Amino acid sequence: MADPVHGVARTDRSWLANWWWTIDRPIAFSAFGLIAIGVLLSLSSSPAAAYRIGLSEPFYFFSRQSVFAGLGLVVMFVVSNLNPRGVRRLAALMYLGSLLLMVAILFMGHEAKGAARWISVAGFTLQPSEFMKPALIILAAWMFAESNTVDRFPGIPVAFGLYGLAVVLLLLQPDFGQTVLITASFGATFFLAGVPILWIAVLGVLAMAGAWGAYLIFPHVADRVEMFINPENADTYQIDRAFHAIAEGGFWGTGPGEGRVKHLLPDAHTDFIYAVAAEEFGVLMGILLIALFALITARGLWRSLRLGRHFEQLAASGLFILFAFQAFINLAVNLRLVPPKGMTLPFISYGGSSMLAMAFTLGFALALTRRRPGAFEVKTPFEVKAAQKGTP
Amino acid sequence: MSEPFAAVSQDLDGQRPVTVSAWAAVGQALQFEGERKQVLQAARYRLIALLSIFMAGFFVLGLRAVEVAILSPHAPSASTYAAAEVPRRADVLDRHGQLLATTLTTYSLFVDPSQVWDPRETREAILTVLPDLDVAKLDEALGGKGRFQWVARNLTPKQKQAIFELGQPGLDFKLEERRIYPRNTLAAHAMGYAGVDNKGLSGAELAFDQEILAGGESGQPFQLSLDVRVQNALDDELRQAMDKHQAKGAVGIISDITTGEILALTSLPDYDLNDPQSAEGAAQFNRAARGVYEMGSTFKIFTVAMGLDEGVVTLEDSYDATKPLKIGGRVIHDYHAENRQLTVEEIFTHSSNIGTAQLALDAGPKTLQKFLKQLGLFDAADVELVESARPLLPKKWNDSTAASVSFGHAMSVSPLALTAAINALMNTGRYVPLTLKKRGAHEDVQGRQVVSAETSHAMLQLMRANVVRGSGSKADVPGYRVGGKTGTAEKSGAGGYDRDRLLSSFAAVYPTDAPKYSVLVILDEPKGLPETYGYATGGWTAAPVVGRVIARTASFLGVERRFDVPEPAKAQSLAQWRAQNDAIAQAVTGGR
Repeated sequence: MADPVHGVARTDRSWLANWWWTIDRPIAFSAFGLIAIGVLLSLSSSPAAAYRIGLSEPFYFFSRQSVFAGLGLVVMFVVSNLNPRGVRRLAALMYLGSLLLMVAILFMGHEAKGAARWISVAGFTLQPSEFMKPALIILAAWMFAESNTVDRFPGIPVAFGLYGLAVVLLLLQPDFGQTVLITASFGATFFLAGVPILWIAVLGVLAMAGAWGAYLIFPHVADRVEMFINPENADTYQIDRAFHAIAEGGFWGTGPGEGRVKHLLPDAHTDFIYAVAAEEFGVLMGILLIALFALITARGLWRSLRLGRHFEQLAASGLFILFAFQAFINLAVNLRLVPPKGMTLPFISYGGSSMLAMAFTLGFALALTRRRPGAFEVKTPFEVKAAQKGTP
Repeated sequence: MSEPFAAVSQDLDGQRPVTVSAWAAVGQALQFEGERKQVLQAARYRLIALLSIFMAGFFVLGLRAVEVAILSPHAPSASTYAAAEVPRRADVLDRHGQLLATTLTTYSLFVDPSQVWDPRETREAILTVLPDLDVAKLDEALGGKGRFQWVARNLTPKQKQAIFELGQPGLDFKLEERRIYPRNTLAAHAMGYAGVDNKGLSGAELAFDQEILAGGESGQPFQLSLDVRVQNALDDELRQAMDKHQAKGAVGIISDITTGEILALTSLPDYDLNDPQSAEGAAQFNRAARGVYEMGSTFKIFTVAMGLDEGVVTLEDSYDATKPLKIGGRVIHDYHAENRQLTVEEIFTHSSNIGTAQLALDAGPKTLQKFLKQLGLFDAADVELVESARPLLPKKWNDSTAASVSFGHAMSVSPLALTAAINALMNTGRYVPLTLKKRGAHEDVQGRQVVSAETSHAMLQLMRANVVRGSGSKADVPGYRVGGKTGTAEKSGAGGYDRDRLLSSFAAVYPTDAPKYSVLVILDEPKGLPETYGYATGGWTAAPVVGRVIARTASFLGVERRFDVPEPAKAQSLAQWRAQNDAIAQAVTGGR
């Protein structure tokens, strides 16, 4: 009997219907909403960005972002169909692939803004570090889980080896922002893996020391921290413009297409897309974006919490944490709560690598949190109630 | 039941009571048995902690988003700055309604630097339309702080449109008032100019700033006492004389001695009021008001008037001018030594330093000091001009200084102060402050009596006699009864007075039978010419200018040209002067 609302009956056992009924729909819908908003905002920011780099086609960035959005949805859908083993295998492949590309970057990278982070692959400028992040988290979760099995696999050293390799390559680019993000996400996953709190404390101190080292070694890191602490004697052009744009937007916003900040900032369509959104659509759009990210994070972590297998739980939470950290840092930079660092807003910022890597990330996370026999050890309180009512 | 995860549900439904509350379910999620589950259980506690932290973080972001968007002070927009009103200034007219200054609405270009995307591109674009802009200043504006920086003021509609069509972000226009002086250099120092912010900066524009602004509000033009026709003739003649004698500068003042109104005021060199920035320092200097000079022999007018008014001498008295006068360790000579006994009239018409000094010594320094003070020569000239400068006075008043001051040395006054003082002596002895503002038709001008009417009459006759048969003959214009006194002062240089650097002047009044107008002309360092036999004195350089100016302007001023007025005879006594004056007055009245 067909469900009048969904059009797909629960009794439909086709794989599409199966996907529909097993996937976590709130997360999937939120992700879809974010991607749609991203396309909408690129419609607004694209003409300015296109004019800025001298393109004659004003909707160049919009067209490309639409294609990326379509590809991203496909990738997310396909990846979310994987089983945990498939997730592990694909992650391993991704890790190896992006590792090779990041090594290649050192020799043939495409340099921009003082850092070599991009590589041209078949006419497509790719940022492999984006793909490295989810792959590393999954592999690390796998290794942590393996270390808890009876055969005493040395998972922890292997995981740290994988992490160290990625960090070294990132710092060679240099990409301090991604390093912080990977370190935080990796650290959180490690924390969830059940190590004693003391270890965590020691590692936290080490991370602090690393940050201090970066402050000392990399001049641009020192600059940015200095700038954040003493804004009056530093060039805070981008961050100031973004901040004022948000203030200018106020409650109602200046109206679609009426914003000014997109004309002023080189990174308006990428790192400062939140400022564009808040300026043109007002604080409600800002709150909507924050709420969507918060929803995916909360729902994702809540689902992860109930997973019954160690690897799945660790990997799923690690991926949601990665996603949440990235969104949080970008938003906090836009709202001038933390020192600026180059980081995209998941699904919203313009960029193919960012979009596809985020599609993989959430695709993996959705795959791991799908409903399937034996995966969840407990139900959420809501499902318990639904089950009570729904009993025929 | 065919749900894919029915097994799980049933499994759990079978074990758990049906009245599970939401929070109890969380508890269930954390309660497991079995060794293998301990790690998972610990992870769940930690996950809950992380989840809480993230939610708190996102909550803070939400609050911050609201704070930034709604509670943070919005930067005032550029148009807010642009809307600030600049006061409008009234038109300035001459005494007959001729336009001297007006205000046009123009477009001024400003930039909101925060909106400029590529300062270099914007700069290059602006320079295609306004190639004369200072590039360094333009860069400063484009990269400036805040949201408002001027780029160019007072553009024409054509320039405005060209800038508009550049399509550069951040550029905008503000309607502005631009002050226009249609007569360019005419009366430049009297008129003065207002800056781009419509604030009066010099001359009448500064002196009457408040009135002109008030007039701008009410739409009332502001009328000056100047007469464009008279001013034009004075400017022209002074320019020619300056050229001819290669003088450093020139001053001319024509005033109505009964009302104190200044009809023309010229200070050369001058400048175009529409472009004051291009004026050199000397051109910006108002010699008539701000310059103070040792005036030379024109001061003898004061010394002689003092002698007559204080009863120190009568016109019959004479002084010994056979030899130079020794006083205070120095010697006073006459320029054209007569080497004989001179009457007071002769002292005046031959401009004898020796005679004047003796007169001053007879009166005493105190009397001279008091007299000059009464004539306002110890203060800045009483006129609206802010530029009006204070005199330089001798530190001590003794016989030596009195002797020097008696023929116009040892103290420096401004040409305006000199004019006001001479005017008083010619205006039946009443001191009337000078003014640049047109007086009302029925305005009662109250003067301050400084000498008696008799003294004034006598001085008028002396002035006229000096033109008829004295040093001032070159100022005479047949029919206009011009009286006057020459002045030639050697300028003080390093180590005493310099014979070659003169300040040559002529102070005139006409018509002497019914005195109405005074004309003062001063040439700064004129050179002698073959036609003046090498002389650069007041009588040879300034007096002819006064004559030509009077010839050109007397008809504008409504002075009747008459040839039936008897000239003053060589008078012997004050009584004779008076009788003669009455006869003249009768002749004038009868002639009408």
